[in-house]
Amino acid sequence: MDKSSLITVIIFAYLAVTLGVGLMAGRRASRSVQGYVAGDRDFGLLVMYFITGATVFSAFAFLGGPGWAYSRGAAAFYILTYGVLGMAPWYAMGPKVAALGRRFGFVTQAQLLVGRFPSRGLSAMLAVLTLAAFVPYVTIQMRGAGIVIEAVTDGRIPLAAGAAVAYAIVLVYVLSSGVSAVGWTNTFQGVVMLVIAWALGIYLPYHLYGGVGPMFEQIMAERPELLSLPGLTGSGEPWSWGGYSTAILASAIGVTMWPHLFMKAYTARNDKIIRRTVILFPTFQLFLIPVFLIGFAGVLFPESPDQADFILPFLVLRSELPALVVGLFCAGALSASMSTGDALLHGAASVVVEDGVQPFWKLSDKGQRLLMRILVVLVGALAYLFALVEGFSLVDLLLASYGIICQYMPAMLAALYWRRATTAGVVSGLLVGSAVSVFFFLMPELKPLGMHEGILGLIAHIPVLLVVSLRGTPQDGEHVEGYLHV
Amino acid sequence: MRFHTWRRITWAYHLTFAIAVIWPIQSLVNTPKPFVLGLPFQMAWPAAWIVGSLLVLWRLDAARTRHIGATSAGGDE
Repeated sequence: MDKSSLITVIIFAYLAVTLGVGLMAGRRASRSVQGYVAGDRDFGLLVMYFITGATVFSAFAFLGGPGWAYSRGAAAFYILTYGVLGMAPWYAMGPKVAALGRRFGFVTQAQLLVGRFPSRGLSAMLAVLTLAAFVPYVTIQMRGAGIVIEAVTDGRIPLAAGAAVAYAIVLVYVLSSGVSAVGWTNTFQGVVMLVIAWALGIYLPYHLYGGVGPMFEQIMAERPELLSLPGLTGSGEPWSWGGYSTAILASAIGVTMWPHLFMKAYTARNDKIIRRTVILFPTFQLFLIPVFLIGFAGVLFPESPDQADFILPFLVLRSELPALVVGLFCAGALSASMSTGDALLHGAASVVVEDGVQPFWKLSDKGQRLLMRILVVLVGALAYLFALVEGFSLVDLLLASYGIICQYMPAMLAALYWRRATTAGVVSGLLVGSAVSVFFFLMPELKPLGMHEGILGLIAHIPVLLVVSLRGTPQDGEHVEGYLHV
Repeated sequence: MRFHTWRRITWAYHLTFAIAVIWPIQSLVNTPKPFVLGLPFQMAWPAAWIVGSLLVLWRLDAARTRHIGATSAGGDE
């Protein structure tokens, strides 16, 4: 068997194992919305650790991370810093969110906000914003999967077919087993990602330069601009400190607030498991170090790929690694893509049904699960159509959605910790913050100091939330107590 | 140390972490040398803060477990 066929076989074997794990996972979950969306609130530490890590680190980290290190140098370090900053608040917030979920039966993030600030309009708005943020995110994951498969099979399996195969498998296990499948496949995929990233990240610098230190010595001598913060922009100009610093802050807030991650607080068996997951998260985060090393290993490589994001498969295919290693690398990249994509598809469907439909038309438990499954397919199909369109600037759309997701933060803090917050304050804050964020996304040249639009949105959002809330009538004391003291 | 002390330390640590990796502190820590385990210094800097976060959170949790044991408040599981 030639190398390319062997690689293809390994990829399909990997996909078969993933499918098996996903289908097995659902056999224990109950046939209810609580079972499909919150895993009957019964996930242990192992699954919580990997579901968090593998969901946070997507195809963007696995392919985009090396791409950034390769083309933008030190700018990539921002990706290293924000994850832990975003996750640490969960040590305090996670158990509280989980307790509210148990008390009121919440399975989504918006249900908590709307529970504290009753408004069907708010619920619908959050459902629409979440869906708008998720579709480009899923599309990026699909393209990532397709790119890897196309690259390593020498184009014998084109992008469209590769993405279709990988995500058909995701659809099958998410449809049949819901979040249990997401949890157990992410555990398997997380292990694959960690092992592959560390192995390749250490191997490639040794193989090409004789070590990590010697590699950076050479980069320092030949491309010193890559080892000076805040690094470069995509077009090779120096990046601004305002942009670098606010990218860290906005992304950290995004990690705290992304609805598909937030919802996972409801899946943990007990509070101790949530806390342990937060404590252990930094160990997952450090896997970005080998990922960056792979990108830096490409800097002085004599040839260069068409696009920076291809640097990882490009190097792997050119460094005369055995077929088995290339196949496993491919599995690692697919893991990164699929472990985020499945959580997003499942999250999008759950949010649309629970927050966009349920407040307006009451469905039975069975009806809700049926509609969620239909939506998983529809959202998947929509994202797939986008994935087929070339040159569509998805990363830009994703960055815009980060700006909007940031605006969830003041609303959530108000719901959990601020007695005087009112529905009017939260809704007007969200509207103003999102509008400002979208405005600066569309008019990037007007951004002061090159700051991230999410942070600019927050600068407008927080005063509006405070002023409108303080001028309005306080909420009923007993109602507020139910959220503040759990 | 008591749980409440560790809770304050944890907050202070992560706030310092956030400040240390953005402008202006990070712009002062902007040299590739000395390498730490082969990594440029500006890259080892956030990595060290990440490892520190693991240690601080772990100590906080240990203090929390002792605190709950001592007050036998339980209610956690």
